[in-house]
Amino acid sequence: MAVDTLTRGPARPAAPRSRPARRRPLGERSAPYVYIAPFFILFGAFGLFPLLYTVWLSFYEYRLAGGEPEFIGLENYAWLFGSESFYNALWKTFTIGILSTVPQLIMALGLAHLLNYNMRVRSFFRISMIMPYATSLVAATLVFASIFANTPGGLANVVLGLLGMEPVAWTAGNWTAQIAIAIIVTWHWTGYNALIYLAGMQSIGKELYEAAAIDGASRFSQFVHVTLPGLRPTILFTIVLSTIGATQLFTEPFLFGNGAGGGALNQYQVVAMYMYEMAFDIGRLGRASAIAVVVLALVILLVLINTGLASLRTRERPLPKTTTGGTR
Amino acid sequence: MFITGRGKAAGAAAGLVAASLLLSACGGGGGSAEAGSPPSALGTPDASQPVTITVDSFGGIFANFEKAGLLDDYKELHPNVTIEYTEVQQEDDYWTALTTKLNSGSGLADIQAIEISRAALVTQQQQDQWLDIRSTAVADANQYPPAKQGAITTEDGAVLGFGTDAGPMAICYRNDKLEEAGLPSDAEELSQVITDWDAYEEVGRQYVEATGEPWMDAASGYYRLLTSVQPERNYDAEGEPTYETNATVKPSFDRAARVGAEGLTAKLEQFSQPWNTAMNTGDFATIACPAWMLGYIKQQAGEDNAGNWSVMPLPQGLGGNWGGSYLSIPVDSPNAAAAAQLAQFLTSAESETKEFEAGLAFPSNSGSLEQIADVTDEYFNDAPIGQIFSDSFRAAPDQPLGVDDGAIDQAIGQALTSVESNGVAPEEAWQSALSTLEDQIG
Repeated sequence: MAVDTLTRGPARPAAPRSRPARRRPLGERSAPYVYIAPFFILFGAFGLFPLLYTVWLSFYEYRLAGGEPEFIGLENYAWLFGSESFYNALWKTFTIGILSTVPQLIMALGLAHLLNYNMRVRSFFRISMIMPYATSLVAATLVFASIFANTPGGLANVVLGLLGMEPVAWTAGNWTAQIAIAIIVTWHWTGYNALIYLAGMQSIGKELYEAAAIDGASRFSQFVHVTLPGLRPTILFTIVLSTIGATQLFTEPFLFGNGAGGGALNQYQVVAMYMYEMAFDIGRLGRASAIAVVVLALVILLVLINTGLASLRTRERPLPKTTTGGTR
Repeated sequence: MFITGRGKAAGAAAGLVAASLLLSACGGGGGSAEAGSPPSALGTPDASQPVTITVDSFGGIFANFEKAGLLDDYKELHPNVTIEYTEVQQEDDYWTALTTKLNSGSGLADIQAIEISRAALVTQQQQDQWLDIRSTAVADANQYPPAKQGAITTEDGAVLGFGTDAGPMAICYRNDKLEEAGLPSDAEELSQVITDWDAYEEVGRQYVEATGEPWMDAASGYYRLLTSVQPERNYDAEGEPTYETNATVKPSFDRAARVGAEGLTAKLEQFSQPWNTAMNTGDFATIACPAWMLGYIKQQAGEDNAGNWSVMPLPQGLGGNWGGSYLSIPVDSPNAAAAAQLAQFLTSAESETKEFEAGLAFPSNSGSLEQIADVTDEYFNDAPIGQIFSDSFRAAPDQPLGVDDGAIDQAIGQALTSVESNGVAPEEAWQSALSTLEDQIG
């Protein structure tokens, strides 16, 4: 733990000269603890305690309406893994996650690449990138909900009409609802990721681009052969963040429809909404806690897989030191 | 959700409060002579001691009391009392916060508002945490119809709250649209045609044929209407869930699903934005209409539509209820006696009449139901709303409520939407609602 590393650290103020330095006074020995206390007290109260309490609660039957928690062992988990709705919610989380994360990161990369070149009013473009991120998600989702209205008069349906297509009942359909939600997520996060990529790109030496340009590389091949390799750690970072974000997706699908059900067929009920429904509509806090614990485990697993994959890739990069051959 | 939009009631004119009832109520003495022995008798509060009564509420209940001048009236009668209330708009948020306070045993106000959809939880799982009003000095001061009183009464007969507003059922309709379609648009004439649910649907078919527009707003709204008039909904009198097999739920589901599959509904989710808009544009012609819906319609349809909406009673003299609230007192409240006196005053016949006449909440107090018989509403073509809703409320059955009513209604409403909007076969939708419920509350 961080506590150990901090307190074992060598830095300590010199004892006052007037006193024999055999044993430092209590106040002084406790000083480092006092300095770090504010963070750890807050973390303990608002970070660690809710986490542990959730885990504890997941072994109990406990209702929102009241009563004493009753220990039921692994029953909540047994229920959860037998629940069709849970697998549906996991699947929707996955599909909406893919639908939103992949286009989002690809577009962010492209935008960052373009912004990285010298151009007029560059600051304006960079700032406008972050505008969707700075917008209130709730307000934006409500605007998008009216854009994706089921009526022929909704903006999205008007656009489809201009393209000669039939109006779509966005919220009612399975994929249409998911695509609409993915578009909201993409709109909100693309600029944010683009700025992270842009920051990563600025640390790539200009001379690499100049050398590539002298060799006659087009902007696209500069992007593929200079930018992408240089950005690998940044890309990994955004993938990890987006994975966590996609797993915890809640506001957009929750406000897109009417409540935590996620449509008449649960067609966009992601796992966070299922948890919310179980806790606050059905009032079973123990079961909701079990969902929370499983989702936490899932996030950790996904992040480990992501980083594992990435380290596999980077290990392939340097030339092998021995001549016994590479992995390919 | 089914529990939105509460506390938006309607009415007109103005009235005076009679303080006499309050004074007589104060002299009532402690306890009551009813069956079962109240746990402890609270006396009349000391009128010489200054006391601050705190209130936690939602959805405009106390804002309406204040608008109707009732809080000022009370302070005038009781100069020693200070009332401090806080109110949130959404009942969901309020309930979550309230249960947290109950579980932790701190932060409760002296008076807490309770929505009727939570009444089963209050009377079956929290019965030890709320004051039995039979033990107060104002025990018998207010009388309510069976549906109102029964919902907040425990198995042992303890009464855990004072009834505030109510949501008796009627049908609201667009008389301008009906006239266009060549159908009777006058409430009396229409009542003569719509003599039962079959006739209601048949007129709907004629309307759809004439206009090509939907007849009602949503299958789930129709389902709510159909079930509200039945003696039992999701639970039987013993408190057992019977929604799978009883004579209310499946037949009502079938009827609502058939209407939805037939295309008589506008396929709108209730309390969604498009639903609100449709009240203005007339995209549907009729809607299941609890009393608080009048205020909601006025707000959404706006002044331009004054005179376009009307109200008709349910066919066959049926009555039902959807929504309404109570004022309850936590059992540990240090000001319980004073709080009970205030809650009783606010829900007395005179107070509720005054509130209704100010165009606010519809009353639940039996005495008040008598007093409002003549009230009409100009916006709704001078419909005799006092008469229609009082009759409906008196006829409303005292349905046994259950702790999972909310989840059951939600699952069935969702299944009906899937029939309307996704073309799911009614039987398949019913089965998936049952399996959802098995998963959620089984």
